[in-house]
Amino acid sequence: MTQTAVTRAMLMLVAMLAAAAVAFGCLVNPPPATRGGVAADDAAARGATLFESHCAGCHTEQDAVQYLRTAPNLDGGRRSLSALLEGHGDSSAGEDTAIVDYLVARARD
Amino acid sequence: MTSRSSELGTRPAVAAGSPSPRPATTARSARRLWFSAYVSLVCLPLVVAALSDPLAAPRPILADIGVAFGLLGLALLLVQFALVSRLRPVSRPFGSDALMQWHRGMGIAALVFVIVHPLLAPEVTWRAWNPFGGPAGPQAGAIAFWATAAIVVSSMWRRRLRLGYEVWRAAHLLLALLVAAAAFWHALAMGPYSSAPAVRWTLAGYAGLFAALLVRYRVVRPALLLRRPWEVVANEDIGGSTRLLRVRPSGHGGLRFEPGQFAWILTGASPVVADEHPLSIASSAEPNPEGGVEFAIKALGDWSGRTVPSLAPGRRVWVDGPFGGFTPSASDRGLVLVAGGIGIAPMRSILLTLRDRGDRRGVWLFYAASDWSRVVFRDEIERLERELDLSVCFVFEKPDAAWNGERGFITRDILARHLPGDLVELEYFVCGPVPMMDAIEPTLASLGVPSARVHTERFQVV
Repeated sequence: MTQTAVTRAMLMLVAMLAAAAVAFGCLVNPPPATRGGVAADDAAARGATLFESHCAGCHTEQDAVQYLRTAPNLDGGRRSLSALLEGHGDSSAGEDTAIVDYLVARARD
Repeated sequence: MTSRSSELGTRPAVAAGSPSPRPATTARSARRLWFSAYVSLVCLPLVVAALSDPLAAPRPILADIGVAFGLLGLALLLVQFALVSRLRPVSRPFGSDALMQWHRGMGIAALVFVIVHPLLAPEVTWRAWNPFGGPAGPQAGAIAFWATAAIVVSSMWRRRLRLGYEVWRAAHLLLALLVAAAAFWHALAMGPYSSAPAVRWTLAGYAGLFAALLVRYRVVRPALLLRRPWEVVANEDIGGSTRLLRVRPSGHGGLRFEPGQFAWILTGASPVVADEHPLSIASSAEPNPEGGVEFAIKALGDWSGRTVPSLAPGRRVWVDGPFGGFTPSASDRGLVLVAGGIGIAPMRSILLTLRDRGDRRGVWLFYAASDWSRVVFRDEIERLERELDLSVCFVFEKPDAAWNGERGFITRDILARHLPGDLVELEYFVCGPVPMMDAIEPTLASLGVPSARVHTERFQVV
C-alpha cells in the first residue's frame, strides 16, 4: 500500500469517527421534552420535590450546587455527590439519582 | 553496465507463470476483514455507551460529544499496540510499513481526540490538564494526555531531539504502558457512562486485550525465539558501506518466507534484550540445504556501523520473522522494481527467487545510487540479466564523466522511456530512501499506474 493510500484511508476514518462522536451526542441527548418518553420538566420537578423532602431540612439547594461546582468538573462532582448520598439520609438509590440529576442540571444553569 | 533504454522500451510485459501462495484477491479480502475488525474495535465502546446511556437528566450536547471523543481516543490508544505487535496475519495483507504509518497517523489522531475530549465539557477548567495534582480521575486523564503528547512528539522529532533508536523504543513502550493504565483509570473513575456495567466490562475487555498482546510480545515471543537460535555463517563487506550477513538456524528448521519480506534480527545477549532491528531478507525464498538467510546491511547508525561489523562467524543471533507484504503474487503480469541505495536488498530476494523458481516474467529494475561505488551486487545483477527476462536501468546522481546512462533521480521521463507501453498493467515495488519514495509515488500516479499496483516498503518511520 502506498503512503498516499494509507493517508487517504486514515483521513476518511478520522472524519467518520468525528461524525460518529457528533452522532453520539445527538443520539444520547435528544431534546428535553422527548427524552426517554418523560418530559424533562417532570424529571426536574421530581428531583426538586425529592430534594425538598429529603435534603432541604439540613442543606440549602445553593450549597449543594456550590458543592458540585467546586469539583474540577461536573462528572467528578456527580460521582462525589452520588457517593456521599449512599447511606446518607433516608432516600432510596433511585431517589438519590433523581436528586443528583436535578442538582447537576441546576449547577449547569 | 549501462542503461539500455532502446531495448527496454520495446519489450512488452509477459504473463505470469510462477506459483505464489498469495493471490492478490486473497490479500484484498484479508485487508477488508482486518480493517472492518479495526473499525469495530475502535467504535465498540461508543456503541456500548450509547446503548447503556445511564444519564437521566438532559445535559449539554457538547459534553456528550466530548465524552464520545474521549471513548474513541481511548479505544484508538489501546488498539495501537495491536498494530505493531508483530501479528503475522495482520502484517501480511497490509505490509508492515503501512501498519507503521497507520500506527503513527492514528496516534496523532488519538492525541487530537484526547485534546478535544475535555475542551467540549463546559465545566472543565485548566486544572484538568495538571498531571501533578487534583482528584485522581482528572489527574489520570492529564497523565494520559501528557504521556500521549510525549509519545507523539518524541516519535515525530526523534532525530531532531537526538534520541537514539534504542532509547526511543524503550521510552515509547514505557510511555505507552503509562498511557494505557492512566487512560483506563481515568475512564473508569470519571465518566457517568462508565458507571454502566456494560461499559465497564467492555473497557475491561480492552485492557485484557492490551495485556494479552503485551505478554505475547514481551514474554511469549522472546521465549519462543530463545529456543530457535541462529548462527552467523559469514559477514562480508560487499562495498558501498554495506555488509552481507549470512545466518543459519542452529538446531531447528529455520524460516520460510516470501521474497520481499523482512525479519527482525536480534543481536543482544538474549531475545529478552530488545536490541533488534528490522531488515529486508536479501536471499532467495527457495529453501537451501543449510536453511541460510542473508541480510544486506548498510552502515547508517550505531548498530549497523559498529555492531554489525563485529558479528563474527559462529556468533549467536536470533531472527524474528518473516513479516510484511512486499511480495509479488502469481497474478502480477510483470514486475517493476524501483530501488534506491540499500533498497536493493528486497529486490535481490525477489530476483533470486524468480531465478530459482524458473519464473520468466518480465522484470524491470531501476536502481538509483550516487555512482558505481555505491552499487552493491553489481556482478550478480549482471548475471541475473542473463538468467531472467530482466532489464536493468541504473540511475546515478553523481556519475563520473564517462557514464553515458541515466543521470539524476528516477523521474517520470526515465520510467516512461524504459518501460513498455502497457506499463499500467505492471506491478510496482518501491524501496529506498524516504525522499525517493515520496517522489516515486506521485510520479507513478502521473503515469496512470493505479495506487493498488504500487507496493512500498518504508522502515524509516521515526
